[in-house]
This record gives sequence, structure tokens and C-alpha cells, in this order.
Amino acid sequence: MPALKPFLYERPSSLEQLGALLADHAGMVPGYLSGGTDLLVAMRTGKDSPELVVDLKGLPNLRGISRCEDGKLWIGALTTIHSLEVNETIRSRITLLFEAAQSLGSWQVRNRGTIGGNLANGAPTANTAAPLLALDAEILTWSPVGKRRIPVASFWLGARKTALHTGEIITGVDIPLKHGSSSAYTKLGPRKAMDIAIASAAVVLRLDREIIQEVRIALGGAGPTPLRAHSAEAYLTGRPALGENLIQAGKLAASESNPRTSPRATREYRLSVIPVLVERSVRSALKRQEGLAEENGGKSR
Amino acid sequence: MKKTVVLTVNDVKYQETLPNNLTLLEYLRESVGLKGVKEGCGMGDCGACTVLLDGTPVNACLTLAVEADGCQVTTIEGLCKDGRMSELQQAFIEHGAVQCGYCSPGMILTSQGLLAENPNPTEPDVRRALAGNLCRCTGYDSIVAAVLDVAGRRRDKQEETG
Repeated sequence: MPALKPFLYERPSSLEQLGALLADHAGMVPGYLSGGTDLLVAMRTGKDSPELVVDLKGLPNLRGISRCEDGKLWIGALTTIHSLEVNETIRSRITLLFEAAQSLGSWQVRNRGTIGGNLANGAPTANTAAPLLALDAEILTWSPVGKRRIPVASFWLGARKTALHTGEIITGVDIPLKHGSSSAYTKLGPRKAMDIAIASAAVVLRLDREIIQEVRIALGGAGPTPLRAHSAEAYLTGRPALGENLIQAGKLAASESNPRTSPRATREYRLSVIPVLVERSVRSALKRQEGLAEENGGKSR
Repeated sequence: MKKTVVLTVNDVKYQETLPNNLTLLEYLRESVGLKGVKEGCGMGDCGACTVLLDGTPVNACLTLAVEADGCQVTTIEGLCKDGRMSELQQAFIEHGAVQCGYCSPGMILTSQGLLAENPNPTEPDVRRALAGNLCRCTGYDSIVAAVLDVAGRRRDKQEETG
């Protein structure tokens, strides 16, 4: 590998410092560095060559996972993917994010890579993207002109294009925790480990008396951005959790998808695996509903 | 475009003024002279450059040297104490887990990190932890056996003394 091109390196220790730094280097597009597992690859392969690299790891209060009073779970942008996979609340309450974290890259990459970086990257196959979309999460940002709260549904604008302005950083995500919901994430890759998804399906649902009351399905690798399968959701809502209904929902999800042919897989292949991934995710989420019912002493029945 | 940093490599403290665009891998090999850190793919896929950063396995090819400011770095050279190999190094030899040897430093360091985090790993745990370390000779079974053997021996020892 050739050496990295020279660049300025700054590591601000407060948002004020970051603001001053951006003002001093107006006109430069900063390359934000958190885990470096995407940025450094892009720099080493010449896909990106920022003149200014801003290391965000010195910023305070952007790390950690905590329950807020309003029933939301806050995850700081600099929280590593590995911290997500070992967190008990995530494992038990938002299992799809646990599954997404666990199946991201290698352990080395999960030790460095962060949730903020995985989202800011803008890839439609980013492991944490579809789960956050299915969870109806909000992305919290900061820029010198102020803070924003962006609903995930309006975060991805196009292929590798996000709603982030130049200089704006993700500070964290807010995830609503809902009682009675279960979830699952299924990813298909060429290898069992260490690979980027060909396609993925993230599902959050709530069942009552064998009827699906509420369901959100998000797909990765099914188009230029992570996307919601709205007609599949509408079809399943109010219907019993029967195999034939799940198959129909999978077909509808594929009809809402617009995947591309890439070196990883063809459009046709993706369209044929999306129904399977949707069905598998819905099935695992349904299975987890049984666990919830037992925890509540069968209260939901 | 340089920065002055202080970092500890294998228990030795270094104060250095380093170019921003130097990777931790380049620094360790070329500046400190630790050739046990290998470059394979240079893109975080093969794990040959794995080092422990504050005890955690990371890809040194995807880490800037200046990012290691204030950190403890451990390379394979740091596992030998007083000329004696660590348990994992010894077990890799006993199990024939070293073939061409190129992946071995990374394999051993990731395993070291795993046993620190999870002293009782199952075989799937070991395979999952090592998924980011590629062995071109494909001697995975003996590598996994060596790691499980060390975990087992440590358990036995603990039971004896405990």
C-alpha cells in the first residue's frame, strides 16, 4: 500500500474548538475521523484525500449508551460497534441492533468503528442503518450553526449522500424503546463473517392475540439508500402471523426495492433474496415475541 | 505537518514528533523496528497488522500513529518476558499452529485480547474473534485448538490454586 498523502491533523477537545477550527479552515472539507475503519481505507485507496483530518475522539460526552427519562435510549456517536454488541440493554431490548453490530466486520474493526461513522458513511448496506430505520430512531447532529434532530427516515438522500451538511457531525442517536416489541436483523453476505451485506432486512414488530399489531421493515442493499418496505408493513398489519402472509410480505418488499448490480451481487439476485431475508427476520422477531409473553406472565394473551 | 506524541510501546515510553500521515503500522515497523507487525492487505481485511491498543486488538494499518498518543501499544515482541515466550506463543508452537508464520503475530495478539475479555471462550467464540485474521496456509484448526488449550490450562491452574 502506498503511503497516505500528507494532511493537517487536528484533535479538538470541545465543540467550541471544533467550531473555531472549521472557521480557521473555511473552504476545506474536513475528513472526520472516529474509528478510521472507513476513512483510512478510502485514503489509502485514494478514493478520498482530505487536506484536513479532524479526529473527533477528543470530543467529550459523545460516547456511551444510556436510558433517558423519556423512555429513549441514547447512543453517543463515538460509541464503538463492539460496545453495542456487549451492551445488555441493546442485546435484550433492541436485539436487531445487537445482531447488526455483531455481524459487522472483524473484531478489530468493531473495536475501532463507531455507530456515528457507520451512519455518516451513508452506505445503503451499513449494518446499523436498516435497524435504526426500522426503530424510527433520530440522528442528533451538531454544526457551528446549531444542533439538529433528524428523523432517520430523512437522513439518507441518495447513494452515499446523507442530510449532513459540510462540517456537521453526528453526536448521537435516540432510539425509542417500546414495550412489547421484538425485533430481528438478517444479513446475507458472501461470507459468514467479515463481509459487507449483499442485502439485509431489519424488522421491529408487536403481536397481540396472534395478530400483528404493528410492524416496521427496513431493507439494506435494496436501493441507493436504506429503505422502508411500507406496502409490506401495511399488508402485515392486522393480519395473523401465518407463513403465507409472511411470504406475501416478502414479495411486496421486493416489489418496493430498486437494487443495483454491483460486484457483490446482481440486481436480480438481490431481488430474489430480499423476500427470504424479510421472511426470516419476521420469523425471528415473532419467535422473540414468545419470550416477551413469558416475561410478562402471558399478560398479552 | 507533524505532531508530537507520547506513547508506550511494549512497556517502553516514547516521545516522538511524527508525520500526521504515518500509520501506526509504519511507525512500529520502520521507526521502532518491530518487524513482528506485518502488512498484508493494508485495508483492515487480513489482520496481519493486529496490535493491542490499550489491550484491545485493532488493525495498525487503519490507525494513525498520532492517534496512539497517550496509548499503550503491545506487539508480538511485547509478549516475550525475560526471553520466555507467552503461554499462547508456546501453545501455537506445540499445536503446529505456525506454518509460514506471516499471520501468527496477529493471530496471537487477537487471541491474547480474546482471553483477556473472555477467559472461557467456546470454539465458536474463538472462531468469531479470529474472523478478522486470515491465514493463507489455512491452518485454522490448529490455531483454534491452541487458543482453547491455553484457556483450558489456565482454568485448570485456577482450579488447582483456587
